[in-house]
Amino acid sequence: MQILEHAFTPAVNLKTEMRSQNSTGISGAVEIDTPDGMCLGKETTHSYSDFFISEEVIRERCMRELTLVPGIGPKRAYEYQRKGLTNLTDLKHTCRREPAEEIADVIGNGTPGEIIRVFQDAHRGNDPLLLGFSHALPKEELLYFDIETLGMFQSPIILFGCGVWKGNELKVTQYLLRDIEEEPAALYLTGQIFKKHAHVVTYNGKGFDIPYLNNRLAYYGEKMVIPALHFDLLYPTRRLYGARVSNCCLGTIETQVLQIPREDDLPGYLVPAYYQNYLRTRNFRVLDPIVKHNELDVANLALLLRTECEAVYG
Amino acid sequence: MDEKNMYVKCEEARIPEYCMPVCPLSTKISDYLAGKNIRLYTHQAKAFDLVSRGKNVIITTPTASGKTLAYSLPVMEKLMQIPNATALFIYPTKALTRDQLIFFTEIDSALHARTKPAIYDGDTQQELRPKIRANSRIILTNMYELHQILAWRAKWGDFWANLSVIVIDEAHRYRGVFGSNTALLLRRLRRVCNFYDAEPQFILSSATLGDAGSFAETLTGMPSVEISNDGSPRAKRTFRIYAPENKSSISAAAELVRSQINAGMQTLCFTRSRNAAEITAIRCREEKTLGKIASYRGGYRPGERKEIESALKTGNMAGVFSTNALEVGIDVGGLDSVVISGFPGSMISVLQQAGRAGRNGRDAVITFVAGQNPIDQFYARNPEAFFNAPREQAILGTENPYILSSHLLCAAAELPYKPERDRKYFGDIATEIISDLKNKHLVASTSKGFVYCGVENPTQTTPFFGINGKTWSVIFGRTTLETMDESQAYLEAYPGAIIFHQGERYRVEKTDPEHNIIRVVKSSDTYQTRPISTTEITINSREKTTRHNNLLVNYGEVTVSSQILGYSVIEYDQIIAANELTLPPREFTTKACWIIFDEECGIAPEKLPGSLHGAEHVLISAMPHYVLCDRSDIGGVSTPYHCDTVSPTIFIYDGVAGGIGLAEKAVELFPEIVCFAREIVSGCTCENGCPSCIHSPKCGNNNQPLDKLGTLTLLSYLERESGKPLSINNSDVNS
Repeated sequence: MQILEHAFTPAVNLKTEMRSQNSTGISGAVEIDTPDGMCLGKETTHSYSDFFISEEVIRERCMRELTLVPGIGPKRAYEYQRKGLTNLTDLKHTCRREPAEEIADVIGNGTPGEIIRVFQDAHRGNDPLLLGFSHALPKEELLYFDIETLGMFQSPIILFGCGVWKGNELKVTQYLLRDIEEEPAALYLTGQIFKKHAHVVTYNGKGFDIPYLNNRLAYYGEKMVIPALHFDLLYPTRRLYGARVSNCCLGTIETQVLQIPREDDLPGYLVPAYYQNYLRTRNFRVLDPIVKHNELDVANLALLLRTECEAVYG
Repeated sequence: MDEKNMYVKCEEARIPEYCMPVCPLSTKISDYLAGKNIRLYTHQAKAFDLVSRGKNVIITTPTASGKTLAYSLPVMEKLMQIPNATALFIYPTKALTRDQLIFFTEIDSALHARTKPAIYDGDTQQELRPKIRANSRIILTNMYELHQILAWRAKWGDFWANLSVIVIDEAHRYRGVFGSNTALLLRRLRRVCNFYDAEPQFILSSATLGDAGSFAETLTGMPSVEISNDGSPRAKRTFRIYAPENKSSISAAAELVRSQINAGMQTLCFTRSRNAAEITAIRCREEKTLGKIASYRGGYRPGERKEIESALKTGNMAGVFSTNALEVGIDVGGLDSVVISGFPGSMISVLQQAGRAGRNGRDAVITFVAGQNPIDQFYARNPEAFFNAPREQAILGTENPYILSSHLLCAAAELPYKPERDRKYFGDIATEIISDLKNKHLVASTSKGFVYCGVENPTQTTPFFGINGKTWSVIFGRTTLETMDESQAYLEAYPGAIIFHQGERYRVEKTDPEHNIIRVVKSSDTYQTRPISTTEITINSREKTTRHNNLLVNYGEVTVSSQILGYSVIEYDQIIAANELTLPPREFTTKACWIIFDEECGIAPEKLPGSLHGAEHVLISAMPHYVLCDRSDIGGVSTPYHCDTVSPTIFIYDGVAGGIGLAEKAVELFPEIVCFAREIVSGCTCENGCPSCIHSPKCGNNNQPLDKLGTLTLLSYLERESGKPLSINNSDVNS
């Protein structure tokens, strides 16, 4: 992390501050040196008000999930609830006593990871309830992550967006390739961030960003990243808002759920074409919309996660 | 059956030759063999020894000689010795893969080997895939799937790192352009494994081939030892060649099968086409047959096929009419008799099909029923030529720049490409191609090697390996009867066409190109249909003309278009009507070379069509040896008048849309090809042409017209022209 930390402290490893909006640079971006070569880094900050959910609240809420017990479906859970058995611990006089007690024990005393595993065993690993843990953890441990690629999974990642908390500010650090040869450096820096932040927040990261990142790391013979907890907002979003939005693209959710429509945003599917254009023309201006798009993707992840937590626990 | 039209040749029974491997068998394997009462044949013992010593081998013993056991015993031994070792088994068809899984599941549980054999191919459910990758030490797949999964390094790393053996079954199928693609794919696989410090061994199983050792070496890139000392027993085999008179070969084959079934002989009849398999079965059913019969071919649903396979094995099926789909090593047990209705295109196929006959030491009868085409008729007249045909060679190459560059793109997407390290897989020519790809912005140079940076999935753009064409479904009411690929759909499922399915006739009502659906209704009529089609070739652009002394060879882009003009309605081999159709042509653009003739070639106008046609066939036979492909990779058209060249012309074109460098290379090597073609014809002792010279097994015009003498005259003329020294004193040059 040394190199990265210092990269944003002028005079240490900082080669040249790029001039703003000229033909050779991205405004606010700096060159970062790594053992695997150089790439560009850019940092922006986004302020959010504080929000916290206590672990106790989450545990209490999860205790009410009777369907976590094998053999209890929604119908049976409803019958129990009508009889006043609303808590896992209430099942001690039923035939489900043993499994219910085991699960209640995990929910009461287990780690968040263990609780998530209980949900996974009940095929509910993507339950919106579990998002609560993201706001119960020390938030410095969270990494908000989004990548931009050349389109096919065998091709390079051209931009890595990483958001981490500094107090109430989300610091979005982006690593950008000026040329494909800078991918190893950007991967190295991203790997370093993953080492420092155990948990990751993404939108469809389970299906896309993390496997893609790992495939690129494996491609270069580097170690893969394994987040401790992975909060992938796509599935909870589908569950919470799927019925009332036209689709579950992040942009749609921002407009229809968060009510923050983007202006002049570059649609994600145009990113590969824009970058190819840049590779041919070397015109940095083409990259600006890609960088902005990715920055908003990362920053809005924080807002979406928080909105969903409030929806579930608020 | 007419005895006078029957040529009979007997092969005496052969007793088994047993042998114990020199390398010691583990107790588990010995117990397994003892428990099943198996003694190893000489070739199985040799395979065990060579594989145990780390050699790459190719096993070329005949069908039903126990090849599966020969290659799986040493593999199982290895996997039991090394607890993490994995093995990859590659099969050419999904049906065969499913069949082999049964074998591996059985042997795995008998040996307690804990290899968890599983199939991983396009049909494998998404949610099962991670478990298979993580737990199975034996994975069965096909080349297409391997091509797709190589890039998923993050997911497959552990499997590749532990890969100790790669088994390729039916390896003779990987020839020509398909073989070249496979050879490069296998080099990509080796490169990825070597990256993890794994050096897997190759075991190939193949039909009998000429020069199998060097074929295996070209295919895998590794020196290989041929194992051909067949020690399996062989029942007495009677081989008959039957030329029916006054009836079609279909009727003759149907009658023959029926009489054999009624005599209690379980019979498998191979036909040349899907339609023929169905029609022969229908013909056979027309009179009382003592036992169940079925037809079998590609396009049937897997369950349907499985049912027929197991009914054959258990003896519940008296007769099956099959395309070459049953030629591969699917276990259907041995049969009393095999009927080969029509020459299947290669001697490799004849031997594979014949190998299905013979079980439990009972005498086996194999009958080749000659059809009306010149090849079949030639063999009917010259049966010795049938038995003495030379071993066919499987030709493939690894330096075709078109194929190589698409595989280099895939390779660069799998692992950064380092020229100094990777030329041992792809040769020095690869280094040139990589720098060309860099200029095209498809790969980028990084400190870790060349990296793929295109925007398309490189595996989709590989010719022959990409997803080519769509699959059409034949739908009756609400059920899907079968599926067919695009070219089959065009040729077999035009409106009004009769489609056969397990003895039922269906008429095509309409086709829906948007959804790739063919709607059919049941038909009670007794006719069948045959399309009337034409193939035309037009020159789009001439890119170059190469002069070999006096011989000019043109090269450029052409469009080959085939069109169905209508169809004939046929009842009992008689055409009773013809209907017209207006259908769009099926076109593809490719690269071709062509030569044009003038009156100096010395052929009388009436002999010209047969001579050009013959020359076209022989040039196509000769070309694969120089451009390293299979004859099915190239096509030809010859015509006494072509409207673009305004002359008699022979075209030879690449069978792959867009062209793949075959015609392009042939332009440069044309004098050699002509010379070899002339030698083929002048060295052949037949009178009017035969399969060894001017007949083509895939001729669209039934090998008519053909003129052997005229062919020889034409080729000699071309040879002379190409050999004439170019000098200003030679007046011919300037004429």
